[in-house]
Amino acid sequence: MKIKHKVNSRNKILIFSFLIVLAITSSLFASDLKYDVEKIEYEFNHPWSSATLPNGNILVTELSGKIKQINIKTRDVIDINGVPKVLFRGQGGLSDIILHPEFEKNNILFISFSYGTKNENTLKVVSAELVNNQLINKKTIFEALPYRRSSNHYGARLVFLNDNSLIITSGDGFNYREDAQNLDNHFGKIIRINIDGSIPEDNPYIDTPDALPEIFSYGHRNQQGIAYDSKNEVLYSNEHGPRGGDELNLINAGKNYGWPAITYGIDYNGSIISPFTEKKGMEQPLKYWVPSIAPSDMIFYDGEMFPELTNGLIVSSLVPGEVRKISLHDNTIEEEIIFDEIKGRIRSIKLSTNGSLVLLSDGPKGEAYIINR
Amino acid sequence: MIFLYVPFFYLISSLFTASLIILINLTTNLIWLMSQGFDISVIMFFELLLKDISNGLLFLIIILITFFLAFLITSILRYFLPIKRTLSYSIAGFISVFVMLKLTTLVFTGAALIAGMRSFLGFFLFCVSGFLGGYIYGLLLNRVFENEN
Repeated sequence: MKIKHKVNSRNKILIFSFLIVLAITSSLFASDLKYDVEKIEYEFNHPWSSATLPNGNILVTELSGKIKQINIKTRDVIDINGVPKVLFRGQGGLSDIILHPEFEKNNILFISFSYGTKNENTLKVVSAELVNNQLINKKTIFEALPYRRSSNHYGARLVFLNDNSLIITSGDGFNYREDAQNLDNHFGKIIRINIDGSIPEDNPYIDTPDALPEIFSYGHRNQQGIAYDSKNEVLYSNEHGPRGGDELNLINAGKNYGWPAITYGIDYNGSIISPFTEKKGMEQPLKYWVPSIAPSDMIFYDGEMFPELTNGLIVSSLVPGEVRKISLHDNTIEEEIIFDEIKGRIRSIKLSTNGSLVLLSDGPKGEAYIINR
Repeated sequence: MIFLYVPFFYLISSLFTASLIILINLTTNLIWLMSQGFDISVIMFFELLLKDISNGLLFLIIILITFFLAFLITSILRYFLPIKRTLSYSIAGFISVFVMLKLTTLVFTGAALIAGMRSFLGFFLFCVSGFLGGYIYGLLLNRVFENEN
């Protein structure tokens, strides 16, 4: 018995030592991502998106209809004037903001927002010049058709491609999900237009009768994240599924992404939307989440501040409120939760000009965080 | 003694209406899928129906709340207005489902949480399900009252 006891003690010491070595080595490798989180001391009213100006100042859109500017040196927050009137209702309001690729020369930016009345509204994209903290020379360059009666699922994310065409996500309006499969409307579509609102001649449905020529891809639900790998010219989108079935998609021109004919989710009330998850002619997601994470925004990280994140997608989510790094390899996708000290629903993640990240938390007392090294 | 039956009848009528709404909702979904070229066999239909019913707790809870208020108000009204039991509870079922559907749409800023109610026909059929649920409740109560008398 004594001998056995001695052996057990020795084993325990060995196991304990092994665990210590394992913990030290794993912490060395796992903590590669070193960063500082700075919270801006200001309460934003439903912050939705941000864009960093060339001087480092950050513009933050509030769903309620305001644009705020954070002075990066003083951390003061001021209002931008001249913002168009928006419909702040349900999931609608002032949404995304993106700078013109040549903003330094022309001061033009683009905003997306819901517009109209509660019974007749739509998604709009407007270009405007930012001069002396005021938006001037506003011009509507896109309006989703037809108008809707609901105030949900606008999509409303914006990104530029290398050819300076603008990609707009247009959600299915919740009540119009079947229209995502028809090409005669903008529900559940990804839209591609030129900077002036004209239609690029190489859009996939430009010569298709009865199809709207702005459509780039279709069969989407509520795409709240759109990201572009400009080096490899690859476009990614994530979208909210119903209950389960959130998707990460690789977007190609003219493709059908299946909603609501194929889905990995069920309706919020528990009923089946479709028993099918695949069909010929419909694209499969790169990844889907069941249960839902409610992906809210996404970037392709090509900044220099965090080499550990380079060439990966970073997805923010509302439920339970996380930031995920998604690494795409040939046949596999790795997913890792990062910045886990930031709690709450994360509405937006954006890459700023110096490679740092700007995160926005959701809600009437939303917060802005700058992630630096 | 009659009042021992009331909760049971209330549950039966609620279950009936919730199941009917689930059936109509599923059917509208599947009709659309078939129009998109999907094959839906009869076996698949019944499998999906069973699945939807087993996932239909939320529907049942909503209908239970709806009918509780509707039948309570109707029983009070019937104390003052001598309307036939089956007719009064049928009307109560119809109106209560109508109001419930409208209210959920208002609460969710225009979003129809039950997809089948987006068309006029679907909405009307849901209300008819309420009507039939109320009718069953009234009918069952009638039988008990007749036996008691």
